[in-house]
Amino acid sequence: MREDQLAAYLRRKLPDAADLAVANLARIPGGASRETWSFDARWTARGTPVERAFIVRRDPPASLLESNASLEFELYTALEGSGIPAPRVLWYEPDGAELERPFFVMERLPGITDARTLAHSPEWAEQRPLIARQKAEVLARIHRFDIGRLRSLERPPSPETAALHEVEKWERTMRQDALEPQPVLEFAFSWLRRHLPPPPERLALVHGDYRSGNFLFDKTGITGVLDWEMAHAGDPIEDVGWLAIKSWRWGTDRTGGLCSREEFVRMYEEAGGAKVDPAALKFWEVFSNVKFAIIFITGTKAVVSGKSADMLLAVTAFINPGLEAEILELIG
Amino acid sequence: MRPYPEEVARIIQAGITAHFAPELRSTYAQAQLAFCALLFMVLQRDFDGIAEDLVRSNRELRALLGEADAALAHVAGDDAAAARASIAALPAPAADVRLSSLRAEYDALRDAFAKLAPLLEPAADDARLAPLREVRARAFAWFAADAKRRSVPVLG
Repeated sequence: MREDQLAAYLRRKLPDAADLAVANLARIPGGASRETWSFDARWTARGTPVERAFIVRRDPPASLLESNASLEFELYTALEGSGIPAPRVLWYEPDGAELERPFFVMERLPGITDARTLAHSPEWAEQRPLIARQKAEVLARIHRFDIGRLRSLERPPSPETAALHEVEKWERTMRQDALEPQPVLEFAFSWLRRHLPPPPERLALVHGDYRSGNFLFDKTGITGVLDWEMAHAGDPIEDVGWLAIKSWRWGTDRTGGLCSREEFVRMYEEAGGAKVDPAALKFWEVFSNVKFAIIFITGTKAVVSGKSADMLLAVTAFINPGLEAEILELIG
Repeated sequence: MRPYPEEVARIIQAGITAHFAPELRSTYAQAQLAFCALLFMVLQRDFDGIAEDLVRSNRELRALLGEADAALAHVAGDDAAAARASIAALPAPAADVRLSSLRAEYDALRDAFAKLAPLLEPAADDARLAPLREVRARAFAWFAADAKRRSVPVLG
């Protein structure tokens, strides 16, 4: 991606902009399912100088998971005015002609995503309780969002099949992408099928990757929730299970590196989230470790087959043994 | 013959760090290089011991499958009989110490455990499968210890 490509694109999207220039184009590390690029643009509109900060999310040649850019764009659009902090999306280009692959453009919000810094740095110690509470409140808001507004959202046939639907989906992905036998994940799938949780009262919007590291924050708290590419309709406790796994404690004993699990669940329930049944939470915690491992199995296949040269995908393969140990601890 | 392959990996890593890293300006490229460094570290850590690890793992997995076979003899049902037949059909131990041979054996043994999962995992609380409880516990402990040995603290 080059600045002159983006400038040409913006000139087409903003025909009234004069003297348009693009600067500071930089790819943001991470984002293993879609490339994330940041850039600044300035132009003159009816004699007035304008400066804007943008983000481009572009499909990669290969990724950790097959995700749907149009769904992500639809979601961001629907979230406007919902009270769920998220960047405003501007344009979606499914044919991706200007930048080689499909992409969408959104505004760049203030803040950082660095979960490890948030979890460990004394500089953020004062903000951690505030961000933990906001994280719980925003999650409750996500789970109350009207999924009827999202036409492309993947959904199970009924609340009763929500958990099994997810189990079967990820089992299929494992069978399709695993390059070697996965006995620990087979043990886990057997356990999951025998411990399906009671169905949720209704299908909710599940973010699918709601963890520290996938929201922007600054000293005022959470400024935007990002990375909606695994969003689907399902059991809201799935999101609570995902954010509770050991990997997202970032080397601390705190959920998300922020607060105790009990405290998070209490704040989430008080904010209007679903009632969290401990057995259901354990199911979704086991499931989340399995899902996480399968995401990396897909990434491993991409680098081993030569479909991707992203070193991040190669490194993530080595996260799986830790996940296997955690799964065995949970189901043992 | 020096340098050994693991030394070659360390030399390449040192060269990249000395000559390429200082030239990198973008945060994204620096992150990719840091991931490369981690991969080189894994390569150096695993290279010397990989054949020995596979030989030991194959021996221990085969012994555990032997225990599973003995326990399955006390489990009624066609699924238990089919599992025993599957264990009996396992390939013989690798005839040489090529990594490809040892890995093929390792994958066959792990696949046997994967196929046993529907019997082994529920044994903890299914009365019919009670004879498998002890081998379930031992297999889980083996796979957990193996996972911890292979683990790399990527997320901290």
